[in-house]
Amino acid sequence: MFRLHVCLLALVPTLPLLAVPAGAIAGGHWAFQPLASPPVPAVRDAAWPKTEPDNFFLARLEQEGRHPAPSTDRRTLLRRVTYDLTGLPPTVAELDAFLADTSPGAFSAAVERLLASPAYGEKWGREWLDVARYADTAGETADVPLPHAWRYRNWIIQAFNDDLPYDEFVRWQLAGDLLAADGPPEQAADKTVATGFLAVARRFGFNIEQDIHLTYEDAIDTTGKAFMGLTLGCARCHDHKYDPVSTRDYYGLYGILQSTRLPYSGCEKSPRPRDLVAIATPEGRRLRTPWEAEKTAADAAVKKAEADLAALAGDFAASVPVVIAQGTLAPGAAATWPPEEAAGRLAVAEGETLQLTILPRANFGADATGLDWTISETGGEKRQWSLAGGFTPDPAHPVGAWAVLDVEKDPRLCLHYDAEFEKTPGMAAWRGVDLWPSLLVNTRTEPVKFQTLTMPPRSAAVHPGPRGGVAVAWQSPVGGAISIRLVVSEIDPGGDGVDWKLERRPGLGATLERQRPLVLASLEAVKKLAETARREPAADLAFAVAEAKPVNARIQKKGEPKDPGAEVPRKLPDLFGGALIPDAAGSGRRELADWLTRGPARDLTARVMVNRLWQGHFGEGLVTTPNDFGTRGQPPSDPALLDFLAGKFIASGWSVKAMHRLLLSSAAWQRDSAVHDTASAFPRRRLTAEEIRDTLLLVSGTLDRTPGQAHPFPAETGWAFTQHGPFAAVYESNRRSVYLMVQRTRRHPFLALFDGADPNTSTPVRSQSTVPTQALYFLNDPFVHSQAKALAARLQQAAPDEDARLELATRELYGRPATDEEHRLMATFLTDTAAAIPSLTEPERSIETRAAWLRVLFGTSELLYVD
Amino acid sequence: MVAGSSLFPGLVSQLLAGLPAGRAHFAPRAKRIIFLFMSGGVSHIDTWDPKPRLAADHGKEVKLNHPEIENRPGYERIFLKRPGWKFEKHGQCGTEVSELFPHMAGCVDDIALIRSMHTSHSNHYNATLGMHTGSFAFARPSLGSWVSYGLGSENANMPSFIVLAPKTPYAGSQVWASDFLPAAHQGTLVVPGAEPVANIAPRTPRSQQERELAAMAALNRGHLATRSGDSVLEARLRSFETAFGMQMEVPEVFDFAKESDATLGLYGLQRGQTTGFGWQCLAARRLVERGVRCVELIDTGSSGNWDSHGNMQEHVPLAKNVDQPIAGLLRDLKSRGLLEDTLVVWTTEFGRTPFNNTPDNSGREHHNWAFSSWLAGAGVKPGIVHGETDEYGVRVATDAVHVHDFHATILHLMGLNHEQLTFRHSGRDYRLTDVEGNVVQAVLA
Repeated sequence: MFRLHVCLLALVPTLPLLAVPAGAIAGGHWAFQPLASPPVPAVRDAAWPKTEPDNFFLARLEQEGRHPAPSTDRRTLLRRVTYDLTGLPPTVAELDAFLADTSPGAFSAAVERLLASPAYGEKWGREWLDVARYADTAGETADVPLPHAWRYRNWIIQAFNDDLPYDEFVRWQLAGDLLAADGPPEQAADKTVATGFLAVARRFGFNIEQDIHLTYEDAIDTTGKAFMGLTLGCARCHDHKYDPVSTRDYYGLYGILQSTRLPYSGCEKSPRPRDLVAIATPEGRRLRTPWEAEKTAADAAVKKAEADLAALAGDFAASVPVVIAQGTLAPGAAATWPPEEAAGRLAVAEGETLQLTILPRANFGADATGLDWTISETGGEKRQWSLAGGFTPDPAHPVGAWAVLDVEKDPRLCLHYDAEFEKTPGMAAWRGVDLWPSLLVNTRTEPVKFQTLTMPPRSAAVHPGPRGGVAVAWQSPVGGAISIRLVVSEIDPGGDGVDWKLERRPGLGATLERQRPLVLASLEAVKKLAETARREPAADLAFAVAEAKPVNARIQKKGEPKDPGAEVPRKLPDLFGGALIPDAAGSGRRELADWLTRGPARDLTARVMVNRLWQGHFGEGLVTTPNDFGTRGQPPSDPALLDFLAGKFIASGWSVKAMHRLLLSSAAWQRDSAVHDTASAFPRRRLTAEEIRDTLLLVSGTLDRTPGQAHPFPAETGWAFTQHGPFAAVYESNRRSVYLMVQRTRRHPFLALFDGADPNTSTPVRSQSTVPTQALYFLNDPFVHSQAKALAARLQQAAPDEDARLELATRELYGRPATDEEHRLMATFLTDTAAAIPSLTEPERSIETRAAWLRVLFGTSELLYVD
Repeated sequence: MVAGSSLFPGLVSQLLAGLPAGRAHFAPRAKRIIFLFMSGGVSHIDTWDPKPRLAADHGKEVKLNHPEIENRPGYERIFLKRPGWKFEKHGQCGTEVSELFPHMAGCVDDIALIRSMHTSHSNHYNATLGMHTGSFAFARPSLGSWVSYGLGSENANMPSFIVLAPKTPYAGSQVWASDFLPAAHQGTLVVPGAEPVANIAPRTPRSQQERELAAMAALNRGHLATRSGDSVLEARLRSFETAFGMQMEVPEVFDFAKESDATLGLYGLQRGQTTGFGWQCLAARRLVERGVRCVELIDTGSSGNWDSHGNMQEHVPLAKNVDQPIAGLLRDLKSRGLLEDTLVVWTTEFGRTPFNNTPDNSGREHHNWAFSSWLAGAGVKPGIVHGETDEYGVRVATDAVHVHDFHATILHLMGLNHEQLTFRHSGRDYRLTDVEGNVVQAVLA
């Protein structure tokens, strides 16, 4: 149905499944070769290189008969490095301090300061979020919000700030939930959150489960592009036309995804999100700690009450029962005892106990048993005790001479009067902790229908429990002769019959009296525990993955899931040796992560990342197609340098910050950007969308430096988004732009205008368009005007006169002093502008005119470009 | 106009930065395109595709393995449902059109009607995305972006691709996105109302803005002087000149004060009216007059549209909203000679079912197996009907035209070979028509 790619059928030889050493990949293409260990080349201008990469860089220029541009000035250098590492301009104080520090270590000290700043992660985290096609909505037809995805975004930022080794960075994103078990426990939440890389894969269609194959495609394709620089998605419909990736390879990875539980984002078909993963974040732990203490105490109270009750075991054992009568009741049958009145006469001592026990047979359900039990004093006051009449629905005085017992083990008083039963008028019920065993009473003088039962007027019934019987005990208030009349009847349609037994229990009554307060205490403790459990603080949720039942995928012919072909085992692509996921391994994500970082793909993984880092500092990668290291991508401009850097990267323990230090300290990076004849100049670059916005917020003094967290999305319970009325919002904030809410089906208007990342697919390189609508933004957008006004007001206080204010603004925006020409230009401008607004009074007039001048500065190329 | 501006002496605006010069693959028949998109799925059998047998066999049970009824409770049985409107022959050519479109019916001699359209998805979102980008799931560049990329702009003061839409359509801004094509080719959204283009209204008096632009130009020239040869910086200077011009020209485009009463009447417009599809259609004519390469008009948004599940009578006001304005646009373009080099396209994302779960159900469901679209103007054979559906309008019977074929034909008319108009992205060459598409020769003049 969906034909995705111009990948025509091509025969790609299947490579032998070899045990391949780390880093070595079969196949002849450069990117799949093990890293070379190129010697550092000699250069003619031996004084120029500052670092080993400079030798590679210069050697190539010398080969071409060119030479590098001279070093740039220190102001430019600080502005360049500050934008490169933090996405923000240097402050005037930072610039002054740097210029004042003439020591040889001044630059590296500045680099260290910037690398240590939280702003570093906000800049470089954004670079990775581009690659990871991060978005705050799912992208299906209703574009539902992903309210928990922000944790992944923030984790990325933190990972860069922490200099998490890149191999771990990769492993966590693919298999962090599995690696969490390796410890330490305080990393478990972050590792789980890191799998947001897979979880934020785009969802498709009206019913995302029906189009899940497209989501898997997104996850596979992004995994390939981000970590391996390979366009694996091509192999969904056909063997890759150009790279050695077969459809079999694709579905080998597909099985790994199919064996992974992606969180359900919600969609039109069924809006409620589910399958998110609970995690213990620091703030979550702060809330949980006091609760966990309460829960522990409540657990202990329940255990103590149980132990107290267990201490009565000896007393119960001493009360040896003597059977008076017993029988079996078939389903629906009734039994009357005694058969003749004489047999029911017996003499009892005061306090002696009679116990009638009902025992379930194969099934305990539908075993409600009617008990019509009357005991009459034959002498004395001729008192009479009737079971149905002896209970009142008054929880305070429940049972009179009668007691209900759970006889699964030692008899246990059922003292919990359950008011829920009163919802059926006339019904009363006593039970223990569980719903059964229980005693049901109809206190009315007419029949009551209760569930499947019809309770006769003024009647009682017992129901045994799942593990054993129920008993009713009568503790005699008198000594002397009594007569018993008992009718036991199976009143629950569908039961399988019960056994009944009437016994004398000498001494039981006294034991039950001792038990009574303990049972009440136990019920109280259980109630408290349940109440505590209900107050469990909501767990923090991550939009993250978990393991699912391991399955192998079947090839989908031409990418069509309704046309399944042969099953393919879960496996690594043949390109990397094609090893199969062991049967016992689960989904195989952990194996995939290890293959990428420690196995056959390691060297490619390192090349792809150092190329991104090079691109981040030099504008263009050594490979200019950073998501495509395959045969259709561009070959590296300097293969030896790429391998040298990749080798250094691995040797440094995959330290991203170490690579920044190496590249930034190079003479190549410190070149001037002005073009001089054949000299190779540093490439000037435009600020990114985020840098533009963040710069204006910073200089105006309105930037909120606190990290963003969750977006103010509408509550999930109210979601009813459809393609007719999809989720759509733009949330304003003064935080750094990396924290802006990014929607999949509607581009953020500002980010779209200035070439922000495409949230639908991995963005390896930002374009730098120059279009008139951007100029309109600088001329007329309310944000530009408000930031200019805020800065104008701030300058009013910050400097004593207009020249000093211009000086300050120029240093903040451009990182240099204003020229005499600029002072003259501004003076004329301010005079003319002020003359045009004569109605305003001071200081409003000054602020307005200054704001106009600042808008001019905001629109200049010097602000927008980094030399 | 910018040419007369004193702000940028010596700078002659040539073209929008980032836009390639026109590079048609062969002589184009159409220089510009107006793409009329009816949102929600217009019923073909009630508008352009007469089905007398459907009327005759009303209530007859049919068995179809249709995507919209599969596993749908209440749709175990389906029955034919007769068209709700009468058809009559019109024009010299005698093409039959229903009474829903009395004005457009009067234009059939200028139209190549395609009754054999079909598409790959029966969901609004996917079908709308497909009709605009050729992709039914993934974000890809829009047709308008491809045309802009392929041919460039004719007017430096205007974006080359403009979308006039009162509301957001299905699939959102993906419908006019340039995706991986350079951002200069993305559609610029015009929403009828106070500020039709974002930031087009100056926030300062013109004299003050000129002062600011002059100061900025002076600073930028100083900056450029020490960075000579940086064409991007030069382009940026020009972009401010263009933006300044746009502030004048864009509002001027949308100011209909100089249009005659007769012209306004053609579109069914009242003088001073600034909304409605008639407004959009007249704005489209004024935009193509000014060299805008691609103008898309979307009649409604993702709700309150042609998606008449509950009641086909909802088609009546929607038809009335577009009928006279579109006919007026065609007549106006023709009378000004613009129809000779302007291609006008009318379409929707899919048709509606000729059946329902009861014959008396007053609505119709989504139907991607068959629908009708038309082309008119430059290079199009006028007064013809291409293709036909079966006796009930359920399936295409002859000369099927898939969305990819439709796109290939449109590009062909614009002088672009759909197989050669490619862009290298992520290691492969993408095109609007993916790996499909055949030019429909029969509709070419």
